[in-house]
Amino acid sequence: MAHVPRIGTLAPRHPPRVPSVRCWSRTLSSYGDAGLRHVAAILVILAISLGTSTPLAAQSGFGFTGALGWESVSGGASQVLESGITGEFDIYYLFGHFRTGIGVNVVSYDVDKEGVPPVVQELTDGVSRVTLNLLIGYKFITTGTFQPYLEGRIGYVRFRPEWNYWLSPPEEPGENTSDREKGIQYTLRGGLEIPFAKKWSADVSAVWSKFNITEVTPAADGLEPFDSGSTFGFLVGTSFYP
Amino acid sequence: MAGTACRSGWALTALLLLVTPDGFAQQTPEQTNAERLQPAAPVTIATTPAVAADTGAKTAESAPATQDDGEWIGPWGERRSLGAAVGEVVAINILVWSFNEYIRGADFTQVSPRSWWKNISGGFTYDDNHFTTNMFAHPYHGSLYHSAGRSNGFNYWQSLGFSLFGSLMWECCGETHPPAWNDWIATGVGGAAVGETLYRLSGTVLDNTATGAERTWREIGAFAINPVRGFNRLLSGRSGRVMPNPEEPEDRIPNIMSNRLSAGIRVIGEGESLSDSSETHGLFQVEFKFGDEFTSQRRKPFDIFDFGLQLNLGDKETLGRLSIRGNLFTTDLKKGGNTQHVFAVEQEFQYMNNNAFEFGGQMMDASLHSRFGLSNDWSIRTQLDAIFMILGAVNSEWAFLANDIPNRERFREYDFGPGVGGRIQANVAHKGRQVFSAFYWYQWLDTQNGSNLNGSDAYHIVQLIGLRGMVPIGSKFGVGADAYLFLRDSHFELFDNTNQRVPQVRLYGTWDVAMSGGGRH
Repeated sequence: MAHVPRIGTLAPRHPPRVPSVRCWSRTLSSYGDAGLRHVAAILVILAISLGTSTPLAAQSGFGFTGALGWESVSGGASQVLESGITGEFDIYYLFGHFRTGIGVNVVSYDVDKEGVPPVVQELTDGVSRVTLNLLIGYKFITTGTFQPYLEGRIGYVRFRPEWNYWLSPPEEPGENTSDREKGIQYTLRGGLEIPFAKKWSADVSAVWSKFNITEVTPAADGLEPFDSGSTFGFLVGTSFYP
Repeated sequence: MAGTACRSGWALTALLLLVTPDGFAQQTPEQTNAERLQPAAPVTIATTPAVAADTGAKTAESAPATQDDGEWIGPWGERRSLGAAVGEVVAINILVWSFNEYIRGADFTQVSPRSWWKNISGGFTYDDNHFTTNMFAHPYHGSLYHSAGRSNGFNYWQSLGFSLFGSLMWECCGETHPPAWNDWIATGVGGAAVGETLYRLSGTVLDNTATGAERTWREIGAFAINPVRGFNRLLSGRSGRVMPNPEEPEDRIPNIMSNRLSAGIRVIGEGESLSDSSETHGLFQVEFKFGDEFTSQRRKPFDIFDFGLQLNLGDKETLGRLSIRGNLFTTDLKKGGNTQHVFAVEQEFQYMNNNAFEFGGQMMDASLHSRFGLSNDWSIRTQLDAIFMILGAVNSEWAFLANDIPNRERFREYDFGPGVGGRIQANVAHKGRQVFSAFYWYQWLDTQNGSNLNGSDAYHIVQLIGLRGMVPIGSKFGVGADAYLFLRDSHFELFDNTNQRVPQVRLYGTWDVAMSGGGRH
């Protein structure tokens, strides 16, 4: 039987400076909400510990990834949007080092309510973004404890004030699609898969995206309109290869 | 400074990961997905010498469910995969969501983490969807989840879990509308009834030993009946692989199975007589019977079931009725001789929707089936049911007042509630063919959401009475006439009581497509 090396027993040719848990936590703390920061840190540590103790193999065929994370906003949209909580689900097919498929990304943004009349503030629950992505990715290493990858995406993006869901008058299906400001979104995602079971991997990634859309006009809420922006954030989740 | 150290640590770690040599990779050989989907030796068995020669496989009569290296293999050669089933349930939700968001332009699909949290923290309510959506489309949606379980090697009960889980996931995260009890029950429980029926129906079309054009058409037919199963057969390669059919007849075509197609007209009225406000519409009907309470040897869930479908041409909805009743537990009380009794616990799904009334729900029945042989040619079958309606729906004059419906989009015209009831039916047969039948169904429905404004008391008593006479013509054809009466007595604490009377007459010709064991209607 072949020897199954474990990362904890290997002596790398160039021993790295592995950051401490405190260091990881401190790095994460410079970005997101406290709750998410801690959850993310725990998931990363858990994933690595699981990954270091599980037999690994190359995955192939269909794959699914689900993840949650946080992202910041810059550019024009940052005049209105603050940070967002993001959710992600991808279905793709792996062949060799490449994978391609589709993904759905949803985000709930908080909005900057400074200057917004108090009455309107009660209505301004936030803004959501939904993106349907086509994705193509390259996994640099397909076997082993750590499997880094890089992924490019192009997506159809829609924005909508979230309070519409709860307080708007009744709408018939089909009536409201024109209300959604839509456009194209480009995304780069770099991440790491850490297999922890035969068909399962932890997935940690950093995501940068840029979008250009028809102008979002939450002016009725007292907010500035915007038509572009970029985001940067982190996702933590799992991948599954049936 | 600390920040610099951290960043350099991250950078070094990332660099290490990027240049990690293959020495980090495991040496354990592993099957690819495609290899894992190849049938294992015990099931690569052909039923004919020709097929055996083609495949080089060992010959045997059929393929039992078996274990292969600890992996469960079903009677159709499917390998049990929890991951694939869960993945497909999630993928189904993504597909349905995408259809609603991007094609239908629905106003409830721009989901976000905030909508997820609102739905999770807000709890369950009821919704105001159309009757067809709630009582038919949702069960069909649930059938896709159930089929994901069934076609990935799970049994009925386990697949019921998938339909409940898939529905819960949708209620939470697939739409912005708050979760609804009626959706979860209709999709989860109703989905299991519809899903198991479609799974069994697709199995009657499939033939693993067929080749060429016949095989192609059979696979296409099964795909149309049960798309999730068809997808899994395509994905695994089983759709084109010659291999044995299931060993036990109940897994494919039972010893007794019948299918009757009817076409004709129906006259439906509303009032004291049929001539009041009557309408005449075209009618097409399917009555399918799989297995038999008295003769089937195996009695797993839905080894015995009835499936009825009625298309009302020209009515407000073409699908006028869909009924499913499948056994979950069955035992003999008296076997042999001219008299037999069987007790069964059954799952029932009912959907009735026409211009005059709406009625349906998810039910569990405790049933006593009896067969009395009167002579060599004549026999009577009776069935006595005690019915527990988990959640039913019936049209009501005051349903539009329903409380606890967030994001109201329309005014609902029917009440929701659980209930109990009873039903008796008798069927007289000559030489195995039905010539006369009668039934009476009494159902009490306690309104939980609808006409019970501000918690007031409201309940409905629904009665259905039916008579049928059939004249066989030859061995497969016949003509028939039905008379039905729908009665609803509705009681409201805050309003005047109401009632509804809907008589119906149907005239039609029939074609008994007896596929195994002869017709048994």
